[in-house]
Amino acid sequence: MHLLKLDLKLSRLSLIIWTAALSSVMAICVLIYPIMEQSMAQLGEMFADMQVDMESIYGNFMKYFASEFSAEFGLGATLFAAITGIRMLSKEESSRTAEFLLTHPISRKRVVTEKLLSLVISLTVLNVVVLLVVLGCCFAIGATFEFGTMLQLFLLYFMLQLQIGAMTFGLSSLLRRGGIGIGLGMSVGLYFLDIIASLTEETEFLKYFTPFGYANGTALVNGESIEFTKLFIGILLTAGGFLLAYLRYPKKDIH
Amino acid sequence: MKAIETVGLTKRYGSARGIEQVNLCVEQGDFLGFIGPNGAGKSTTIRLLLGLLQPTEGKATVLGYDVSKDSTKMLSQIGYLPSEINLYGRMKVKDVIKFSANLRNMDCTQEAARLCERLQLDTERKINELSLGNRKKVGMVCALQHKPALYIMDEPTSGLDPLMQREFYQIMQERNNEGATVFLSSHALSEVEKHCTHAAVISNGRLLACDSIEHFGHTGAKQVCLRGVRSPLCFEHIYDVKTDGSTVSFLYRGNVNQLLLELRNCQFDDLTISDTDLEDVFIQFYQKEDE
Repeated sequence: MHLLKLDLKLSRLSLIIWTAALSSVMAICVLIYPIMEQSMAQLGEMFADMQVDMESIYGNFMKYFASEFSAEFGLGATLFAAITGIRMLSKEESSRTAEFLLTHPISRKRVVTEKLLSLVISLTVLNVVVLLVVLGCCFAIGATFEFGTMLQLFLLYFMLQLQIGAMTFGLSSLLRRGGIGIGLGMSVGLYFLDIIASLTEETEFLKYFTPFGYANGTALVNGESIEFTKLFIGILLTAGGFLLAYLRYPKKDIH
Repeated sequence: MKAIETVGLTKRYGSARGIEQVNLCVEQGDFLGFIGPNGAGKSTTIRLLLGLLQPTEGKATVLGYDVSKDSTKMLSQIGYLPSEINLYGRMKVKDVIKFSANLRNMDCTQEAARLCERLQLDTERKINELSLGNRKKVGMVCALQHKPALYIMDEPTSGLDPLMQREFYQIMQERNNEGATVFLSSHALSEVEKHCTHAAVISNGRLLACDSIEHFGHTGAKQVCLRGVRSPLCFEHIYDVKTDGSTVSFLYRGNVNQLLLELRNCQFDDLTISDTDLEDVFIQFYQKEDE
């Protein structure tokens, strides 16, 4: 596991920056909830005559948190997963260290395995730290929340990140240079595909083509069950990304 | 068992040429210089031998291992130094050397320290602070510290100062004397002539010759130089004629007695007859292939 250790060591600065940034954003979201709650109460009074049910919009902490979490952490962590995944294998070639690495007695499949572990560990660290920060902030403001739902929310978005990470990781085995543009473009594109899919009933089928289709925090908090077909497609694409790397990288020409 | 054996080894990059039908055989214990002009296919051959490239056709066996099947076992017994070494820039020299040993599951601390001392390498510095020559030294330590059975080196002395070049060849000579096989590519023909026991010549992707240095020298040709020539020359068996004012030089491949008889009929001031320089022999290979 020497390559894994080295990879984690060399990428720790990027992980620290992303974790700190996303933790800060989520901490702010939680810490400002009491102010938001007051504003919502005032708005509720104003809209009472118009029969708008504010409860259904930002009714409680979990609904508020799920909405913010989906928008900010959902996209941010996905971008991190895409950047990390797309660079994972190709960075050895773009920085021209692949020749040094692959002329040591380490099989290409082993390289893929250790790089894959590095990706999964990075995503896990990011999610665990953000979860701990969120929990700390929740206790600090005395928010009432269901721990189980909170955990499900994080697991759902972890699955989303893993899928994006796996798809970009697979693509990384085909690239010789960084490909950050491809990774970012792919994740942002899938994010907007989900927005388009939500616009009308005619475009709703598009949710099957984006992992943001099954990773819907607001729906989860509202008690809606995750659609199995969408999740299954996501699991298939995750496995497909990893499989592509295992099949392609051992046969790749290293120039 | 051969140290290196290739049969019909071919690599094509689409329509572009890599190497074509290379049949190479290197015995264990050989010190072989792999020479050829730029773009001849030296680095492509080396990358195929290391399993970095997949062959289009043919087969390569290194230390008895099929390169495409047993590359991990094979690489555990190889020390490789690339021509342009790229290492993890943010790491310290000592960490790169340790990482290389770790990947081999070996503790090479003592040998690494000995090599660093001989090569005057500061192990506390970061890789991206090093000059090309010093980065090359780090690569050398990584390639040498585990004392492999086969050394594959791509232009190993480029970027090194003359003292370090001498030290490098000294180390390689020691390793060769201990029984290791050395396979190195070089543009410095004089280095190959001086240090190698065998040479292989590649040009335009094809292996032109592979023989002992001794054999390459026995071309039977003599280098003849006449100064102050005052009459026309009309000899047989001469080639590579060069004229510079009244000085004429050429290679003579024939009976020396016949040459001396023919020279008696010529008018000139001075004469030199010497064995052909090995460097000239190699250059002739390059030129013939170009023609």
